[in-house]
Amino acid sequence: MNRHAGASDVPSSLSELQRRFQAYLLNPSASPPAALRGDGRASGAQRAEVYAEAYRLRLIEALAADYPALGTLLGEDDFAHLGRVYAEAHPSRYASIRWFGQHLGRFLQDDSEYRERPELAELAAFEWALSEAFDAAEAPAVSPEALTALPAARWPNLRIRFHPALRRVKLRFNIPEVWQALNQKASPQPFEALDSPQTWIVWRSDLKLFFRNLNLSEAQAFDALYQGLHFAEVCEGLCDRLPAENVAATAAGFLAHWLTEGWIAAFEADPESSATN
Amino acid sequence: MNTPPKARPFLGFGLGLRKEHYEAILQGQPTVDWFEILTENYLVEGGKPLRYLERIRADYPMVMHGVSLSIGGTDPLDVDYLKQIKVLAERIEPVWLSDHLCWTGVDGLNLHDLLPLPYTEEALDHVVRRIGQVQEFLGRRILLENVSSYVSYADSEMSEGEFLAAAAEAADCLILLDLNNIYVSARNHGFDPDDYLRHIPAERVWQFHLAGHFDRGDLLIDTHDRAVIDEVWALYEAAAVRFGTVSTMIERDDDIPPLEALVEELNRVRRIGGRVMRTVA
Repeated sequence: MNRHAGASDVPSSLSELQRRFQAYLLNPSASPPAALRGDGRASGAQRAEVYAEAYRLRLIEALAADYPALGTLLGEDDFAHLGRVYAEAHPSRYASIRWFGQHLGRFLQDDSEYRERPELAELAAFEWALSEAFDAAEAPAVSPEALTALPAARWPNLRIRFHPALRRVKLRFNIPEVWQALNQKASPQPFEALDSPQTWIVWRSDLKLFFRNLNLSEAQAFDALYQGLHFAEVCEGLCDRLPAENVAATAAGFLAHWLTEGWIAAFEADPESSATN
Repeated sequence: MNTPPKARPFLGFGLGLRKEHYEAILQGQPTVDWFEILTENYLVEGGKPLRYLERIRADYPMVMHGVSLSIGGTDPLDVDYLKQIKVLAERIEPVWLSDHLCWTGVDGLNLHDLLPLPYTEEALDHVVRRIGQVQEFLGRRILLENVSSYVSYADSEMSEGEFLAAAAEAADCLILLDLNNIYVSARNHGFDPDDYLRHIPAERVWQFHLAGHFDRGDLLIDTHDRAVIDEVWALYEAAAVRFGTVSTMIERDDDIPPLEALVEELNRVRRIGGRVMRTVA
C-alpha cells in the first residue's frame, strides 16, 4: 500500500469538517464547527466543549504519567498550565500517546516562561531518560568474564555498543536528589547548582531502573566510548587527567565495572582491523 | 501471522488488561477467560510492558484493541502504525484485532480521542475504502467498534446503527459492539438503543464491550471509571438474546479497583451472558 494511496479520493467536505473540528479543539477560543447539532439537552457548542476539555485533560494526564516528580514539584494547577502551553507548542503526532511528552525538556529550556528556571528542564530530561530506559529494547548484556577473555591485540581498537536501555544525562543541578525526595513525597529538597556538570547514567536491569553518576575520569571515558571512539583513544584522552602509567588499568577498570552493571551490549570490532583479523 | 478465524469464536468472558493488575493476574490466575490489550500500550521495544504481556499471554487468549487507526480520518492511513500493529500481532497472536469507527486527527496530528463521523454516504464510501486497505495490509478482517459521542452533525443522512451496519457489510469487516457506548450515545442524542441493535447484522458481531459512565446531567460522559449500570446490563441482555454467543468483556480505565472487584463484576456478565446465550444457542 502506498502511503499516499487514496489521498485524491478523500472527500473534501469530510476533510474540511475534520480540519475545522480539530482547529477548534486545538484552540477552543475559536468557535466550534457550525455543522454540529444542538438540542434541548445541550447546544452544539456545549457538546463540542466536552471534547475540547477532554483533549487537554488527556494530554495533561499523559504528561503527568511521564513526569510525576515535575508534577509534584509544580503542583496540580501549574503543571496543568504547563501541559496546556506545551500541548499548544507540541501537539501529538504519534500513534501512541506515550511519545507526546518527549519534547518537554527542550520546551522548558527554550520557552520564555520557563527558561529562567533551568532546573525544571533538567528534572524533565532526567524523568524522560527514566521513562525511555523503562521500555527501551531488550538486549543481552556482555558478561564481565568477556573482558578477561579479550585478546590483548583487540584492546586498542575496542569499541563499545552500550545497552539500548541505557541513557546518559548531563546535569548542572542536584536533580536526582530532588527527584528522589519528590518521588517519595518527602519534604522538598532545594535545587542546588553544582560546581561543574555531572554525568548521570540511567539504566534498566532485570526490569528495574537504576541511576548513578560518574566521576570526571569515568565520565570522560564513557563519553568517548559513547561517541564511538576506540579504547586507545580513550586512554589517550585520559592522559590529561591521570598519570600515564595508570591510564590503561583505570580505563579497563571502568569497563569491568560497567560490565557488572550490564551497560554493555557488545564489544565491537573496528571494521578495518576486523577485516585483517 | 497466525491464521485468523473465519467463523465467530466464542472466547467467553474477559477483561481489559491493565498494568495495575499484572501481578495479581500472574499470582492469582483469576477466572477471566481472556484479556483485551490496548494495542498502543505495547508499541514499545521492551521492558516491563512487553515482558508482562508475554507472561500473561502464555496463560490467556488475547485480542488487540487499538485507538489510533483513524479509519474515518482524511489523512492517508499511517502505514508505520499498521506495520507496528502487524509486528505486535505476530508476537502475541491475538484472536482478533479491533479499533473504532471514528477519526482521531488530521494533518499529521493525533488528538488521542475517538471523534465521531458524520453519517453520510460520502463518509461511508471513504471508510469502506479504508477498511479494505487495512484488512488487505493486515491479511485479516478487523473489528470496528461504535464510539460514544457527544456531538452529531447536521449533515448526517443516516443513523449511527445504519452507518455501522452498512460499513461492515460493504467492507466485509466485523463489529465490536460497545453496549455502554450505545446507551451513552442514545441518551446524548435521543435515539432508541433497541432500534440501534435492530440495524446490526448479527453474524458480524464478534465482541461486546461493557463499561461504566458518568451522568453529568445534560450529557452522559463515557468515563470507564465505575461499575456498569442497570440500564446497560439490560441492554447487554437484549443484545445477547439478539446476537447469541458473543465474547464479552468489561473495560475499566480509571479509578481502577483491585482485580477481584472486576472479576466479581465479570461474574455478573457471566451469569447474564451464560444464561441468555445458552437459551438462544
